[in-house]
Amino acid sequence: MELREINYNKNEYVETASGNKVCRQTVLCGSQNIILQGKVIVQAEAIIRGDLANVRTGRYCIISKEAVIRPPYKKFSKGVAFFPLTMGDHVFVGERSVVSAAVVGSYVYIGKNCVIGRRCILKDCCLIEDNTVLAPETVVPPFTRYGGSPGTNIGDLPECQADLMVDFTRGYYQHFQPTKII
Amino acid sequence: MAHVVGPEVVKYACTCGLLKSISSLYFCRYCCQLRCGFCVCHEVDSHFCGKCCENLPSSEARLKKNRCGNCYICPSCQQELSTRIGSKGPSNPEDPKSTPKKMYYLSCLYCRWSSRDVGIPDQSAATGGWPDRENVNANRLQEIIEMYKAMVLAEKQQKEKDKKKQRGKYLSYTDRTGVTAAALRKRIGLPVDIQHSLLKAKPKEPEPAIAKEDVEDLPEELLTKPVNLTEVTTIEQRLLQIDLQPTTVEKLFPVHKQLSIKRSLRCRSCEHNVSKPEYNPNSVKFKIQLFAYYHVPEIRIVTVEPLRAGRPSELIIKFTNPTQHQTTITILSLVLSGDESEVKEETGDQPSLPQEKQPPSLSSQPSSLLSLSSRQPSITIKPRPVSQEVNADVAIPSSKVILPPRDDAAEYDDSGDTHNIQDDPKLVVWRKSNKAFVKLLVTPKQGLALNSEIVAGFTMQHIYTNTIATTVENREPDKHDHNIRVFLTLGNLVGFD
Repeated sequence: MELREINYNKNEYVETASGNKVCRQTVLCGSQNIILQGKVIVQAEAIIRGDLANVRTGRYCIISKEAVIRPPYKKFSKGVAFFPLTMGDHVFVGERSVVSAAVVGSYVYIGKNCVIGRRCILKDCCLIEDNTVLAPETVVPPFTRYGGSPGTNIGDLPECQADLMVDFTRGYYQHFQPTKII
Repeated sequence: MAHVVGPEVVKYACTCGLLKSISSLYFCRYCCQLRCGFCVCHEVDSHFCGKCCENLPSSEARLKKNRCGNCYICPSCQQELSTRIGSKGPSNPEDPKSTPKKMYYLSCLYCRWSSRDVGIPDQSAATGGWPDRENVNANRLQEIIEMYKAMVLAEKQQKEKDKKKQRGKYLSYTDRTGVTAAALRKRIGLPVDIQHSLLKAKPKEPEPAIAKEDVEDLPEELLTKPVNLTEVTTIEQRLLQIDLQPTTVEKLFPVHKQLSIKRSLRCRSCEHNVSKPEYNPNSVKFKIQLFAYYHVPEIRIVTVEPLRAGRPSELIIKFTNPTQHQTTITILSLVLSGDESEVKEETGDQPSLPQEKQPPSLSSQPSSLLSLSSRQPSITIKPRPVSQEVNADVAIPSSKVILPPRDDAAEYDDSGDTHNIQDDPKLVVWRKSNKAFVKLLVTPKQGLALNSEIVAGFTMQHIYTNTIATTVENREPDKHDHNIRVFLTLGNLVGFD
């Protein structure tokens, strides 16, 4: 199916020079530690916790409504330390998902209501279905589809998944237009 | 938004007759046909562990029974186990000032199982120190396997001997004179046939298994004692360790993680590789990638009017040209019978592509693949008729749609389309670089029940430009028409006319 025009209220969004479209109603803590590479969409009521550690996203990422991007922590004998969270290009994070992974590769699709456990490693070209709970420290290999709770390998992805994600995120960005006031 | 995850509404018919969406199809450039997962040979390229992402050579993989040496699976919830640092007792119990030694234990972060639950002692080495449980019947199984291997070897050699005896047209020179080696040996007194050295050592036959009749009595506790379900293992947990199959939770042992593979795909009729991944498990690139997504125009449904039986509804579909050459799309009516491979060539220089599944001629192959031409093509697949019922008619338009080549730099260039293609405005509704929206009229057939699913189909003919390295004299890449049957699931019937 072809994407339909996704319209947003122009007043609500801030568009930066590099093409990032960030909604004003998001909670961006520690914004100096958050790096959005370019053409990234952060939709309403998303939360990015840059105050805990660095958060870096690649190009054409989409963070849907009410998603939480929170860097993972590790308990030491002397306390707790937060690790930076890096996301690759062309990543889609679904609505109301909580991402605490250590590394999210490129071309990853994370569904709605997912919980990505802390310090998980999601390699390139994987897909996390809706309503999945990934156990902490799971490594999701490329071209796999994880689902269920606990998240287990439930299927494979076609080999052209990288291009499918590129098309999908690019199409989403192109269709994400402000509502035209006639 | 439903493209990556979503119902597959647009399906292409593969040459074998199955319907697949375009992301699951491959395109063999040499046969110029669509192939699906069933028409290609799957070969294992490399083994790797999903957790440590390291490659294992295939011989080592076979030795370790396709399991990783370092990574373990929790026997209770089948998630990955991680190594944690446990108590740090002093390394030298005599000296209280020595640095504490780190002891490691395995722990599951999901269900909180740990190696201490079953009594495995903590290890001092971070990896590779965990004891492997020996199979109780290992010796017996080994004896039986060796016996069978020897039997197979003996049978093979027997066959070869028989073949040699049959083939022996040319007797030895001494046979005419009557003094053969066998006759000589008989005269001396040695045995006639020289036993092959390998056969000399006859394998020791294992003791036959003795049937026992006395079985231990049914313990009465099974009937009287209440079952504590937290101690009993589930069938899944039991079958994870087939040799032991523990019934109680205390005997659950961690299992090695299974390896994953990378596979390469090969077209069955022409034996050329269709997909070959890279060796590195972390990489998502391919050395050879002949996917249909890159060679065949992609069709997506944009909008469809609510469908009523007997009344034509408007359907807008989007064509995308993924190739670097211009292509023309003609929509033809659907042909449901099996054999639809009509590949017409416009230039007559190239040798004709094999219609039947014969090994390709040597002249059309690059020299590196000459060694493969002697290989027999694997099981040939007869095209099956498509089993999808079509219950809507598509009005076939008379004009064609020209799609310009894909231009990756066009998104940065705002100067606009410079193609100036004259379009039939009733057919092509919108156009941008290599995409076009095409309007078609679909009429569901009469006599269908309400809410039944409507499937429409047509044949798409596009001009495919073959980019295989051509010979020196012929610089022009050859173009030919390629027909693909497309099936669109349009939704449910809303009403009647």
